[in-house]
Amino acid sequence: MKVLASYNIKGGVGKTAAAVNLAWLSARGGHRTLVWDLDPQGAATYYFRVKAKVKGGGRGLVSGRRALDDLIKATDFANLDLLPADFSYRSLDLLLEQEKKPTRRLRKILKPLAEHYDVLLLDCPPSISLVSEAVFFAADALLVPVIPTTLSLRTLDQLFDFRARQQLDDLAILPFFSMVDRRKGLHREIVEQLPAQRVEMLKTPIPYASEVERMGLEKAPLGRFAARCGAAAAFESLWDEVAARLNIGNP
Amino acid sequence: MPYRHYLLGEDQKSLLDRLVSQFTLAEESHGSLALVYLDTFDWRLHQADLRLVEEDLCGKARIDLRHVDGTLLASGDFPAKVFAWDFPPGSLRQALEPLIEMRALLPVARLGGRRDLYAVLDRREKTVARIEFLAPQVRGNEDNRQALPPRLLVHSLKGFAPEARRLADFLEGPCGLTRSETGLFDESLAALGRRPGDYSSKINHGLTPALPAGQALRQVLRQLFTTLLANQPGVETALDSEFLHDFRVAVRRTRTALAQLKNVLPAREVEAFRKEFAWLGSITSPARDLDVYLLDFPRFQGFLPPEARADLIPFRHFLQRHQRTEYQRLVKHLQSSRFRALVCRWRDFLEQPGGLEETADGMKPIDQVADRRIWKIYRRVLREGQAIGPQSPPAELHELRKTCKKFRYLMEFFQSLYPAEDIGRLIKALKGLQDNLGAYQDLHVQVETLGRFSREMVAEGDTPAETLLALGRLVEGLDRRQAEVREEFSERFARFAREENQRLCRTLFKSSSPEQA
Repeated sequence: MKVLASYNIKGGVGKTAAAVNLAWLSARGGHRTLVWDLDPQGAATYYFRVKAKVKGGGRGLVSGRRALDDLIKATDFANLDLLPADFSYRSLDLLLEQEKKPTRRLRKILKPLAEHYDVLLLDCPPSISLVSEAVFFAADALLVPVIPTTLSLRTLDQLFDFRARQQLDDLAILPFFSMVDRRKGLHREIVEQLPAQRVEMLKTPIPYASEVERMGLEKAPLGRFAARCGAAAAFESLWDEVAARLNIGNP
Repeated sequence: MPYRHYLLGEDQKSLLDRLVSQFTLAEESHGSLALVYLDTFDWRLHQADLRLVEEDLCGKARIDLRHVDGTLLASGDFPAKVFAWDFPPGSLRQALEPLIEMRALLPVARLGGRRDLYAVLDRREKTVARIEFLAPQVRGNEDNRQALPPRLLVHSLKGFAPEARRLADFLEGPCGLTRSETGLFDESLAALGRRPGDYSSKINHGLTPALPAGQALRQVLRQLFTTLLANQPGVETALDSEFLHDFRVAVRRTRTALAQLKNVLPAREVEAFRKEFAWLGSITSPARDLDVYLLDFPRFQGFLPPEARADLIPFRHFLQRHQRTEYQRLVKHLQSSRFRALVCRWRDFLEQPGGLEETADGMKPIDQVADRRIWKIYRRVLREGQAIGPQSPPAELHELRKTCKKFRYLMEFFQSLYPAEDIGRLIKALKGLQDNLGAYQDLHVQVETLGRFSREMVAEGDTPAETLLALGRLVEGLDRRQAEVREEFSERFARFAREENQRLCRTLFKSSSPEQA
């Protein structure tokens, strides 16, 4: 099972849209896929029309008293399941802290899922916290949406520094441009120049598109209601890149 | 597998009206049903409680591998392939490879007809269950269609069990539907006059100890004959290598039965049939040998360093070419009057062998005859095995291998006469020894044959020097492996011949027969 985390320190950068659409594409490609909505705001859960509630809450999950598998809900799509968000996830940090080796905890909880899923996508809350640290230890790769602005690039650097300090050498960081507005000169400039300087950067930019915003209204991944739009095509080629980089589907 | 399966008495429209009064339904698809259940000839997926289904969804192929309880294990959005290695890398191939190995996936039932799919929604408009109206038709090989009763399937979704239950309660309560316990898969096969698992190359006859040996042996031989004929079409069309393998095993078992139990059936006829089955063994050998080389090809490549592996490819082409020729030859033999005459005469003989009273053992109870024969061949295995030392020539190991096969076949023919656990333990112990002897013999023959193949490739021309070099390196590798396998023999034999197994053999085969010394 490949564990991918859609993550950024900042909020509002297209994290959930990426998690939901990439998960949908993974499932469509025949991989048994699970999304875990770790964000207490529950946007991914909302997109899948599921109630943001988990029996036993975050405490039950972190302590291991609740088997993850019993809390999973099928989405409307074949091969694609969801572990919903819960409001109690807002205190996940505190719950983790009470455990032994809190940063390794998530990895341990996820282990049994490998039998049932090929791909796990974690939709992470925006922050640097114990939860994100635990995610870094559990994940094979971070998918990091980056809005092409100078400030966003700085936070990306911070992420690379953090990985180096924690000696997380096996963790791939895969940034990609998100919410790219071609009308803005700065966006165009950064998107054209940066990938040449940073090899880890994925090549496909995700455009700023009204269809992505409409996901909230339609309560569905793009593939369900706007499969032919530019953003859907961009996610598709982004997924191909991610799958190729991480060797998904090539055991 | 659906959560619930109901055969429909009333028409779909009125049932839908009733459902709509209680649940929110959304149409998902309407149209024709086109699905194919696939399995290997020997039902490997069915034996593992799995179903592989290829579906045509509005012109797009989809293939699902599910557990019989409905859990989806792997899927792909492409049509089914014949062999596991033809599937694109991914979870489907990973799941299939260890199960079906070299066997081809064949359609076991094709379904057409009509299908209407509805999603059952909750107040968030989330799908919480699905219902499927089916008016299926099973298609046989000759494209004849047979309608199955219309039905309603309820599919539950993970995490939404109470919703599916509520739906089922409504269908079984107010709507008065009755659950059907058989599924579409079993019904489709039944309509085709088949049942899942109706072929197996394994033998196990329910023999009773007092049955006259003549009758028991006929029962064994009849089953072997059925296996042989069942595999013939697969051999002729070369669907996969295992049809010929099973065909040959049936021939070998028949020969062992006739030779080892020669005083049971009339001697004159048996003699003639033994000659004909020996012929059948010999005409099937060349094609099988090439099958084995081709199956072993990836292993052969593994003997070489990675950079030299591609050099062997022309050798594979050579094998494939010769395999085609040998299969053509074999098919001619199987269509010959000699083979047809053998089939007819053998069938008649198995129906009415006649003269059982005149044979020495024909009327004796089978347990006595089986005990005596198995005990005798077992002692031969011990004798031959104990005589083998580090310097013994390969021919002696080969001889022991053949004796072991006879011992194994006899135990398998008559296993129902002995306690299952005991005979199972012995067969397993013997298998450990047979694996070693088989590997040794195969390597020994391969080392010799590869030399011959190299010369033939040169004679046929156009063989790159790298390929001949690679074959040379392969022979060296096989030679080394052969020496290792030979080293392991004494330990394997000692394990088989240990006191515990000897005691078991004495208890099972020696004690009951007064004739045994």
